[in-house]
Amino acid sequence: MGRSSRFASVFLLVLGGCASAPSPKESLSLNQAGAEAYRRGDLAAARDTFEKAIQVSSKDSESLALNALSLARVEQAAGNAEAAQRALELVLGSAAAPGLRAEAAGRKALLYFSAGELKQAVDWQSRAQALCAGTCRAQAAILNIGARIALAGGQAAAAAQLAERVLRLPPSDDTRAEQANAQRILAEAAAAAARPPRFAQPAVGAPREEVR
Amino acid sequence: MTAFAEHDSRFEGLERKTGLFLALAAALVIGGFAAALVRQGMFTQTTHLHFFANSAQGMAKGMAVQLFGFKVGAVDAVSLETLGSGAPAGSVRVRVQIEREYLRLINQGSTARIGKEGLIGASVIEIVPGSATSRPVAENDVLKFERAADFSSMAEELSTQLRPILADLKSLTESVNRPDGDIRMTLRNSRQATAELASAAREWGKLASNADRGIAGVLAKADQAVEKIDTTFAKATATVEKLDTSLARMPDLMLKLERTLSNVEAASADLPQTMRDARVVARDSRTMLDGAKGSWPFNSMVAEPREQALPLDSFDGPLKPVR
Repeated sequence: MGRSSRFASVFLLVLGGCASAPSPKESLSLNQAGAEAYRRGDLAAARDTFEKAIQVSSKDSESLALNALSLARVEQAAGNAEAAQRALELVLGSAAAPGLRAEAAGRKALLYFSAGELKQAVDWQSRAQALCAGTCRAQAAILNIGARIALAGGQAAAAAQLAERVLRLPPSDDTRAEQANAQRILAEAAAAAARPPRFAQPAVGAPREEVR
Repeated sequence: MTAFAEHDSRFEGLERKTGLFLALAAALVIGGFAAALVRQGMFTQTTHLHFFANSAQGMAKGMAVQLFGFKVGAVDAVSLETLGSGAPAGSVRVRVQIEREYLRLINQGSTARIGKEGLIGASVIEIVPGSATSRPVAENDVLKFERAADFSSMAEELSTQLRPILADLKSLTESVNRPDGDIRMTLRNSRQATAELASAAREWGKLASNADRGIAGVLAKADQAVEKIDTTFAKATATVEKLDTSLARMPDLMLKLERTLSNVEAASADLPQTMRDARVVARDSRTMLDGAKGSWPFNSMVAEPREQALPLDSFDGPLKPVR
């Protein structure tokens, strides 16, 4: 499916959803089904399900944002960065809570970082941090994204500082995985600091793919 | 002379005696000559027959002609035919002279053959009469000719037939003498197989003795089993007797079972209604549970399912299938 056609389909889904009455139970069911499909690794089914969820939840900005964030994650996992960006634009253009918009900005930063566009990544990471204001559930992830960007920019000390902030956050289900990531970033920062300057520049686009 | 003749009596009648002597000598000479002529067949009535041969080898003028082993004539002339003579050019015309009195024994299908009297005797022409139905030959008739196998041709034929046999014998002898030849190898394998057979026979002997011992053990166990079977049969007989007693009570048991089944059937008739009631109860229970979950204090204890976004991970990226 091409970019324009996918954008058109998402747009039509939202537009079609506006014409029908919101159905919270259906939206919830679709949201859970999409998450289940993603956990199974069935990205196509997850994409279809989240698109339907967006369609039925178009009048509920929070529900729309949640399903669009999920769709963005699915598209990013499928390697469709532009489709992911379009889904994130839906979140950022909605009246969703700042925490959800912070999460969307953080994912945009991550997308730009993966594309090697550090400047854009820095901008969106800053916006995400501002929207989160230290209270959103993605706070730890946003800080780690900043740390990774700093590390890729050769600022190992700044990266270490951001990672240490993540480690100081109260442990919870939302922060536990990111605190593990912070440990990893700290190790990479320490290694970068110990290396000669010409090797202190980690490849900017290195973490473009993730093997799970 | 007159004086001696007048006085010697031995000369008396000398002229008469001399004339007699000369007449006797002349008679002897004439008789001998006549006998020679008779012997030569000069006074025998003869006729001529002909045959054609591919070669004049072994044939010559004066050669005897035999019929049934008796001489009945001789070869009169042997000549080579040329073009225009009526016979095939290059063939040999042989003319034989046959005594006329034997001509009636030679019919049209007769064949003249050249052969030898004995293995190494003189060559003769033998006339072999044909079928008895054909008529006798006439003067100057032509007979068929075939050359009978003589010793040299027989020897040559024998040599031709023996040559491949001798060649085979030679190759066979060579094969026998060759250490890696088939025959030597076959003999070696046969010797080895014989040795293995002897070994196998010994093994079979051992196996047979073991089998004998095993069979003896099995038979002993079979005897024991038969004894046990006898015991079991005795017990079975007792059980059957008991079973007879039990079967006598079966009608009563059957009646009881029938009554029980009737009761079960009556109870099962009410089952569908009971199941419908259970479904209604379950639905009512769910309604009550939903109501309770929304009421204080339970509404604060039960978490309401909410929509959630897939979490943001700082290391998110495209998924790569793990092999």
